[in-house]
Amino acid sequence: MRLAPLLPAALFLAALLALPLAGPTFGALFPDVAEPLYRRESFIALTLSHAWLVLASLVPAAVTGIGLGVAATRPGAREMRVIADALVGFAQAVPPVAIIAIAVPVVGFGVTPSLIALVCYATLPVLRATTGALATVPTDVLDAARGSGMTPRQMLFQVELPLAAPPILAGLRVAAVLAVATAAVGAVAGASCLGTPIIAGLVNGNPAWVVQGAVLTGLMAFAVDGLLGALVRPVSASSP
Amino acid sequence: MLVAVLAPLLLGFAVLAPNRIVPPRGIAVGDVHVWGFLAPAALAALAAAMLPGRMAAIACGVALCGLLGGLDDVAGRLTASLSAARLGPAAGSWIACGALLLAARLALGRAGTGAAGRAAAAAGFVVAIAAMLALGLLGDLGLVREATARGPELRAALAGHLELVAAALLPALAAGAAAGAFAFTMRRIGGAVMGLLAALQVIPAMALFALLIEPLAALGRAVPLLREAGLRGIGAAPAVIGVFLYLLLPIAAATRAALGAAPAAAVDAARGLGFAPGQVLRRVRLPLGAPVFLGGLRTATVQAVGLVTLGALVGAGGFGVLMFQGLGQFAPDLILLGALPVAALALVLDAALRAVEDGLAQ
Repeated sequence: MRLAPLLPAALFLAALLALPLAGPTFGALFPDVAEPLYRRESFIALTLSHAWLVLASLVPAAVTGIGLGVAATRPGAREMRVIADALVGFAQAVPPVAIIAIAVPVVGFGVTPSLIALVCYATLPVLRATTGALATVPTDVLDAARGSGMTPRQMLFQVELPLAAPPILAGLRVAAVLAVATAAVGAVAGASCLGTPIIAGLVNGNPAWVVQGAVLTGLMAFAVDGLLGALVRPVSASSP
Repeated sequence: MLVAVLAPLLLGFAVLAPNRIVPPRGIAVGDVHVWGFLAPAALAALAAAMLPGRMAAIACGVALCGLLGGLDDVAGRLTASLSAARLGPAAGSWIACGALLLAARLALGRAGTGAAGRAAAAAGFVVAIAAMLALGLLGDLGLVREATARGPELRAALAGHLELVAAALLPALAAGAAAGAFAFTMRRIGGAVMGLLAALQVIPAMALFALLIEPLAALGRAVPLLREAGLRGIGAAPAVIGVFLYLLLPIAAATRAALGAAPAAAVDAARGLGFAPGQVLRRVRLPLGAPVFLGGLRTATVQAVGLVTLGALVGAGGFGVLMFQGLGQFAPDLILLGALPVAALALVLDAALRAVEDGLAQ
């Protein structure tokens, strides 16, 4: 494995450990601010709850995305494909923050509105990647599999999914990066995450907190992107 | 379709909040007698399951109008004397609305309607809702009351939102097209530029907007002329610049793909006919690549509408202001007043540009 994909993750870790010690630096950068370091919750706790939000949404999103994608590409499932198309089209038009905001009156403040939006938006890239990847499996490969007496289930698990795995994993990577961004927005609905210092800083007129939250959120997105990129590439290299 | 009929019966029909402080209470279908609206609506919903394609879509629209009309009727009776009271749909009615819209979309898909047909259907539905509004058939719904009370704010939000979208989109169109053309001609350096633009996409929007505040504030302090032009840390500037940066990738990628969309044979044939490079570009590459470029423009426009909403966090205007105000005051109608127009605006622009694309591709 090359080391480059790990660099953002290492930077993120370094920033996470260094920030609590950087109080004087921020004090010098923002002399007008009374409390230059965000201390309401530790950055590590915020990172953990952010990561939990991302993981808790990514797993159901992967299951539904791949499941719907497989269902939509089965022969005779034209209906499913239209539903999938309509859902993707609609969700691309509506920004995640709108979903979070609309969910608040229904389910209340806290983690739930973010989870709803996260699952919705993480599902889409997986769904799109799955339908796209399964559609590109060459027909002669499918014919050969059918000719060798494979059942449709065997064809799906032994031929189609292995061939389609690299693009699906790439879709998962997009979904994960999107989930990091959407989870940060969840702070407006009261979810505790790395977006929380940004919102708290904006509300209290504390630019130092805004910078701290934003730097960590951005680095976390790059870290997730780099780590998943490192995971995706070996798979695509080894698959037939 | 059964979902659309059963959901309001089982999961609650309407929610009535006498004012903002008292917790809202649910109202079941049986509590009020609005069968004049709901019975035809239910019949239309059931009919939609049996009718073919386009008729089913119309039946779904009729059912939706009936449901909204019924809600308004209840609202009119229960909140007539209370100006602070707001009546809105309960979870069941929301699910019914969603199910009906999805069913209509499915019916159109089954009938093989293209983008232009879908746009026409959506326009028809909007006209129907507008007619109901004009006839006063929706005036008592909480959302409509809130909208009427906040008319000027709503208009300012629409103007602000469109202004911000344009302020980010137009420069991005120029810079993105230039970057795309550059990437098309100078493959190696161009690839690096595209990689940089792609890396920008990884940064969460909220973090990018927030990170832009301080540098812009410093710039404003250093150059008083810029400060007078409205460049301060908090405000429209970080949102517009942030959105601009995000839009560069879809536009540049679409430009590069559009320039390469012409088949090599067509380009060779044009060269063989003695076309100058400029003529090849104007008469072969640009016409053949136009639909591809428009696809990128559509993606960018829809993204801009959504991203600008988040800009309200850093002090930009637009519908996001209403949405975040609503979140702060826990006023569901106000949240919807910010969120629904954003969704509608994005869907309308998407449908319109898609219809243009389909027209060009033919």
